[in-house]
Amino acid sequence: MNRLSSDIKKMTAAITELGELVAEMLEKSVTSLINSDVELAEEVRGKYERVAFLESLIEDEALRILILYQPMASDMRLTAAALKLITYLERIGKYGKNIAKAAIYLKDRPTTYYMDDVYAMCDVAVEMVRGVVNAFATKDVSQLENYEELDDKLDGYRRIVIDENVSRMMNNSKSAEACTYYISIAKYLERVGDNACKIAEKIIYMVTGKRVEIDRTVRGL
Amino acid sequence: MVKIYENNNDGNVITIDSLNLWYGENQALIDVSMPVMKNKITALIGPSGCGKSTLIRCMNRMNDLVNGCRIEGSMKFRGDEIYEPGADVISLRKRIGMIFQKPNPFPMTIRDNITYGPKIHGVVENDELDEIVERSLKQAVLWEEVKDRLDKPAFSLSGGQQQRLCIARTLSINPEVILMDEPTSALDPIATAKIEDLAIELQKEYTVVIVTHNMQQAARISDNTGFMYLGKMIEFDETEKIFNKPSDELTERYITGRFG
Ligand SMILES: Nc1ncnc2c1ncn2[C@@H]1O[C@H](COP(=O)(O)OP(=O)(O)OP(=O)(O)O)[C@@H](O)[C@H]1O
Ligand SMILES: [Mg+2]
Repeated sequence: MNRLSSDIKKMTAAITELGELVAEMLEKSVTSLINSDVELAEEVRGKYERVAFLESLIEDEALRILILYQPMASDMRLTAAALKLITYLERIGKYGKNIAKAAIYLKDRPTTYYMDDVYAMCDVAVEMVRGVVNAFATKDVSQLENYEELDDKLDGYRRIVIDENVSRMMNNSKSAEACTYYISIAKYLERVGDNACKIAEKIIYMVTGKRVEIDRTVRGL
Repeated sequence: MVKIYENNNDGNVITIDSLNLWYGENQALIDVSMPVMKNKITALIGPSGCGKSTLIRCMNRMNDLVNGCRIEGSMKFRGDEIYEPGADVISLRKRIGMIFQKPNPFPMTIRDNITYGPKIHGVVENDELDEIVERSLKQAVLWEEVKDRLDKPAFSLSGGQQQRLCIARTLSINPEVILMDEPTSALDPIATAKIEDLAIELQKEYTVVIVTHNMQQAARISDNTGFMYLGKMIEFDETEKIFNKPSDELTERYITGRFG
């Protein structure tokens, strides 16, 4: 294997690690929220350090590859994708961390809010993140075909969560602060979906060389 | 009947179709087909010995000089076969000029290098010759560097300047196509950048074909790229496509450096 191949392999491994890490953070942050598990939430917050570390490690590595090898074709598409992916993955990690913080806050503020729609959002968001991480590792983009649908689904749920919590706030001002947290969580999860869509676009370009636009909501369509 | 090379206007200056070439028993080009589009830069890439120089030399019949060289298939310039009996080789070479890997100025002054061709083609007036010298050197972005020493020997120039002098010499007889066989492989990065800028500038008025081992150079300056391997044209496409998402596995392996 030549040096470019082995450097690309190392970078790919780091991206996969970052992807799996943020997917895990998201999953665990949601579990900590559901179970009011502060210990787990703290664990998630602690993992963010590794996310930031990997982000700059991969950026350095990608820039080094560009400078040293001036890569072409699939190597170039992968390196360019890497530089974009790390930004999206870092944000997803940050949303996981934010949800974990919300879980800690909400633990001592029980509400009667049943949260079903928040759970449903979590399932979809985690599925999307796992999907892109898997697609990146396997270069199989067929599993990204339904991302527009999944994204629409997240949008729909978010609207329900907002409506529900806004009406609760109006009826019971004591729970208002907790309600704003649920609204924030819905917003985070919806943003996770947007970022997963952007990642999916980059992976599709990386694998097929074709530009697609999944996340039409970004353009306000 | 002498060919006048004016038959087509379809945007392809040269059209190569199923070209085969043998040096004695050795087949160096196998069924090569490709267009050379007007006012575009076409790059030829591929590993050493794949036939790039052979192919580019075919375009102005430089291989005629090689003993035992045999050519079959079609190579049209402006719609006319250039290998048919009766093809006008002199006019062809005037209209399709060649720049080589090693700068090869004539052992004479800078000025005489430029006026040599026009004189052969019948220009005698000194005024007109002066004009040609200035225009050609300006087009080759060499004028400012040599205008005060036109009567110095060409060999007093640096390698990069000599290469631009050779380009100016080619331009002096108003060719339509300029063939360049690894024109920058002996030059430093600054001279290389100058030649690349020059190629892009020339493309407005001329059509350029360039052989290069520098993939980034092909990607930087060309519109179309042909990848050759073992005498075959493996893939010919828009440069962006070749370097971003080639269709052929061999091309991908070559340009990503995973070859052999
Ligand atoms: N004058 C010649 N007589 C006999 N064989 C030749 C001659 N010129 C080239 N060949 C052979 O034809 C094949 C193609 O050579 P060519 O010079 O076209 O390759 P190339 O792609 O330009 O290589 P490089 O990148 O090294 O310049 C080689 O096998 C070479 O040995
Ligand atoms: Mg050659």
